[in-house]
Amino acid sequence: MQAASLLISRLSIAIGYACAPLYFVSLLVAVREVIMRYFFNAPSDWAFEVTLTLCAVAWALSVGYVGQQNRHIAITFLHDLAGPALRRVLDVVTLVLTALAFAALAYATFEPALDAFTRIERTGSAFNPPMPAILKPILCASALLGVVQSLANLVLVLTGQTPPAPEPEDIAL
Amino acid sequence: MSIALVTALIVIALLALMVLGTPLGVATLLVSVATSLIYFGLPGLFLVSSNVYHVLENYSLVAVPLFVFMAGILERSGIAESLFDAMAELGGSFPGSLGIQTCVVAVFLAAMSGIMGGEIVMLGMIALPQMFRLGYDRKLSIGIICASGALATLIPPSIVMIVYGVTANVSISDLFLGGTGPGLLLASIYMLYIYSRARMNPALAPALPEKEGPSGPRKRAAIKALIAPLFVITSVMGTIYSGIASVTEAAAIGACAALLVALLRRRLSYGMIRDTFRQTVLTVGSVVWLVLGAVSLVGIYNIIGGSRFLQGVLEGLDWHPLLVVLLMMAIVFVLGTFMEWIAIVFITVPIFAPVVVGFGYDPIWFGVLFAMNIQIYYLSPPFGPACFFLKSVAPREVTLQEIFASVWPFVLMQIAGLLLVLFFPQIALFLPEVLAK
Repeated sequence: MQAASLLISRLSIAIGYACAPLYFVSLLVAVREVIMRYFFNAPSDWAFEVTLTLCAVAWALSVGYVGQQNRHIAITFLHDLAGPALRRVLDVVTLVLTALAFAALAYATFEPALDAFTRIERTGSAFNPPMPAILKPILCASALLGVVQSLANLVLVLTGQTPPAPEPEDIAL
Repeated sequence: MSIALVTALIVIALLALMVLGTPLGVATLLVSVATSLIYFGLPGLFLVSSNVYHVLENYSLVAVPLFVFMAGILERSGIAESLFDAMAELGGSFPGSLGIQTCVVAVFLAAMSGIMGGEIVMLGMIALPQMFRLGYDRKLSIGIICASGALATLIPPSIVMIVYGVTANVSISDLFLGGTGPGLLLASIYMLYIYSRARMNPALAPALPEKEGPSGPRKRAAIKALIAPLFVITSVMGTIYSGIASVTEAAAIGACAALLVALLRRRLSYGMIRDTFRQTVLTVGSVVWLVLGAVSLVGIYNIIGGSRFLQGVLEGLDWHPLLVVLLMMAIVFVLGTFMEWIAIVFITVPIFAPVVVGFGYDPIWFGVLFAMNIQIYYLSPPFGPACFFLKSVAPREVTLQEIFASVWPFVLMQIAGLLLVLFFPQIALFLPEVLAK
C-alpha cells in the first residue's frame, strides 16, 4: 500500500512537472501571434484555441501535483490548534471527503468525456480543433488523478508518514 | 423546501466543511454535487460537469498563469532591489523618506506584476530589514509593507481585476484603468500619513545618513536603474492600450520582457525558468481547482433559483442603492474572514453584479470597489493573507500578533479610500471615460 502510494505521488509530481512546458509553449504561441498579427499582418486562426487548450490541460492535470504537495487552499486554523491525535482525524476526514468529491466529479464527467471522445467533438470555429474531445476526457482523467492522489495521501497519513515537503518556493496569489 | 432554507443549509454545510479543513474547492464541489443530487438526482451531475467544463474554456483566465510566471521571473531577477536602491538615491533623505520611497517602489512593482502576495514578499525581504536597520518604528514599517504591497490589487495589471472581469463579464482593460486612480490615491494617502507621522515625531522614521562623495554619478546610475522597470511596465500596458494585444497576450509579452530583464541582469538560467514554471503550475493549479468548485456551486445555485432569490432580497430592501452596495461590501468583508478571495469573487459577483447594474451603476465602478474591499480583506485579521506572507519572510522576532497590531491604521485608510470611491465614483471612472473617447 505504502509503496503504491509513493509511486502514485511520484506519478503526480511527474505529471505536474510535465505541465510546466505546456505553459511555456502557450506563452510562445501567444507572443508569436502578436508579432505575426502586428508586424506581418498575418493573424492565425489557431493561436487562440491552441493556447487555451494547452493551459486548460495544465490546469486540470496539475491536480495530482497540487494534492501531493498539500497545496489545495484550505483553512487550517482548527488543524493548527489541534493536538496530534485530532489532527490525524481531521486529515483522514478531509482526505476522504476530497476523494469523494473528485470521485463524484469523475463520475459526472465520464459520459460527456466518452461522448466527446468517440464523436471527436470539435469547437465549430474556423480552425475547428477537437478541443472538447481533448479537454473533456482530460477533465475526467484529472478528477480520477485527484481521487487516486487523495487516497495515496490517506495511506501515507494512516501509516504515519508525512507527505514530502513542497519543493519550489511559494508564489502567493 | 423553501429556497431560503436551502440557502441557509448550503451556507452551514460550507462552513462546517471549511472549519474541518476541507480544501475550499473540494467543499464547494461537494456541496454542489449534493445539491444537484437532491434536486435532480443522478442526471443533476451533468449540470456539475458542464459548469466545471466551461471554466476550462475561458481565455481571459489564461492571463493568470502568464502573470504568475512573469512575477516569479521578476522576483528572481533582483529588479526590486535595484529599484529600491534607485529610489533611495533619487528621493533624497528626510524623516520618513525611506517609508515614502517604499510606497513608490510598491507602486512600480504593482505596475509590473499583479500578484499581491509576491509583492509583499519582495518588499518584506528588501525594504523591511532596511527600515529596521535605520531604526524605524517597527509597527509603522510593518504597516507600510503590508499596505503598499496590497496596492497590487488596484494598480494594473491586477489578478483581482482579471478574476472580477471574468465573473462579471466586463472589460478587463477598462477595469485596469478604473483601478489606477484609486490605487494612486491610496498610495498618496499612505505617503501623506508616513510624512506627517515622521514630521510630528522624527524618531519614528529617521532620515538616511548622508553618503560620501559626489552624488552626480550615483544619481545617473539610479536613473539608469529605472529603465528596466519602465520597460516591463510599458511592455504590458503599452500593448494593451495601444490596441496591439489582448490582456492575455499582453501578459505573455510581459513575461518575455521579464525574461529579457533577467537575462540582461545575468540571472537567467534553465534551472530558474524551469523552477518558475513548476511554481506556476502549483500556484495556478491550486487556484484553478478553487475556481472549478466555486463555479460549480454558483451554477447549481443559480439553476435552483437561489441567485434570483438573493437578488430579490437585495432589491426588495427598500434602502438607498448606495446602502445596498455598502451591505454587499460588508458581506464580502465578512466572507473574507474565512474564505479565499478568488472563491469570494466567483461566488458573490454573479449574484451582486446584476443587482448593481439594475440600480443603474457602472459595473466597472463596482469592480473597483470590490477590489478595494479585497484589499481590506488582505490585511484584516484573523486570516489577512498579507500578514501571513510578511510573516514568512520577516525577521524571526516579528510575530503575527505584532503584524496584526501594526496594520490597523492602514486598514482605516483603506476603508476611507473605499468610501471616497463609493461617494465619488469619478475617482475610478475618470480614466476609463477619458480614454474611451
